[in-house]
Amino acid sequence: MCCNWCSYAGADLAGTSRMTMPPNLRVIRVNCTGRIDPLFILQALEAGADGVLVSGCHEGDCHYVSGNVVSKKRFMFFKKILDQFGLGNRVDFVHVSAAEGDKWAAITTEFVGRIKKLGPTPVKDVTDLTDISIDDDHSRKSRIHEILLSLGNRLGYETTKPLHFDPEEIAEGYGFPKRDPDKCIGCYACYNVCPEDAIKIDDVKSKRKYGTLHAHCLVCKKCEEVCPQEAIVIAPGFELVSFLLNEPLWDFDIPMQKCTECGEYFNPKPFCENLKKKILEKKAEESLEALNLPFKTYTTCSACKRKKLAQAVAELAHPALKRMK
Amino acid sequence: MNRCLGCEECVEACKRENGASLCFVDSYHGVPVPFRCAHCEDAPCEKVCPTEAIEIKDDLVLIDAEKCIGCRSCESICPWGVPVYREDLGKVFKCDMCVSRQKLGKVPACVEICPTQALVFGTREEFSVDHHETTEKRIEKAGGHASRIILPQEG
Repeated sequence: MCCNWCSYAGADLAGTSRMTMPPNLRVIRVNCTGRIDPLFILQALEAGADGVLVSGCHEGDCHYVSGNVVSKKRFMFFKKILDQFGLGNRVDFVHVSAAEGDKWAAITTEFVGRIKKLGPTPVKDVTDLTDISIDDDHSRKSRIHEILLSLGNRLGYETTKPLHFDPEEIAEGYGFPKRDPDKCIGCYACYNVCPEDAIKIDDVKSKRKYGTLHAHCLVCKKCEEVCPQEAIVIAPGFELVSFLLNEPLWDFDIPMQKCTECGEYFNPKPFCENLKKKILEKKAEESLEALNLPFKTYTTCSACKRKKLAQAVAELAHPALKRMK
Repeated sequence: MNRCLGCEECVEACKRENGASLCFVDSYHGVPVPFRCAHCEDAPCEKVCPTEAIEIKDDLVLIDAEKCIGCRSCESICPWGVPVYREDLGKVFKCDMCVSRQKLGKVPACVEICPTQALVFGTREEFSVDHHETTEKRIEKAGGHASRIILPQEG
């Protein structure tokens, strides 16, 4: 697969310069390597391609600013998945510019030679993929899972679920953070610890939304370590195929608690309940009650607490204030 | 309480010292009420902290910033509403009685700046004696009569 601007022109140059190129190479022109979805590579492999070579502009030369960089990042991760199927060495990513016809000829010759050494594709029962239509993000994603599953089956791997692979087969550094909506209390711990800002939290009135930018996740497992509720686990599986690079996949919502004084939403409901649970566990309920606070301890926001306390203290100092209402 | 003017100098001093204001001055009908960590003996924040980042050391309730994960539990449980969550650092901060200043032999920044000595620094024993003279006592000492502010009566 070649980028329209650099590599395709490079291939053209190689052709017009009458350089020798391997005959069993099919060049597919795409607008930019950023357009290449992992699905394309998968479908090519499923259709029986012996190898797939992705060729883009040099870094910094992209006509769409960063299409090749994004694509390479995505490709390198995707290659890890293919590695597990033993297909990782059949795909490659190279940079060829419009002026490098000779490099193109050399690279393709070398690539074809390498694939020839590996022999024909191990994928059996090659299917005809001419009637594929992709409607939306969802069907596209499930299609990727489907292909991975069928590929796995045809290569002799035992895969049980279409989305996740067997944990034993997942090498170190794979997976994605999976949250348990029942355990999560809606704090900020994972959000704070994520080095790549891949975890997104958005407060929308009565709920707090939790999302993950799977494309940014490094699988560093910090969120798993930090979660005080052990609600996050690095699940063996892949969720890298989010449609938009900067749009997180929203996992679930947590209902928010209204402040009993001002009526603003301030903390998630399970968060308040968890605080109460902890206080009960430590048997500190009495000492809290002994303070005789003029508000509900668990369902009042900090600003309102201070406001009510200020009122109480002021009234204590100046009893006449009580009559000022 | 009687001396606080509500000038918020302590808030500003705290900001200069700690980067963010960790004390507050709220007011009710013009009566200023200063707030800062009470350093509770039986601190509820210490009990709810999931990472044991909060510990009580020499009567001080301190947050270990390295252990803090920014879950904001302490902020929510605190009866005085004083811990501050700093979004830029993703951690919770609260008054530590300026431990770093104490090591240098200084009093906390807010105490130093307070123009009316409404804030004093000392041990619990020192507080048990009447540290403050009330306004009335001071006026009596000066030989005059204690004047009172007459608040508007009901009706």
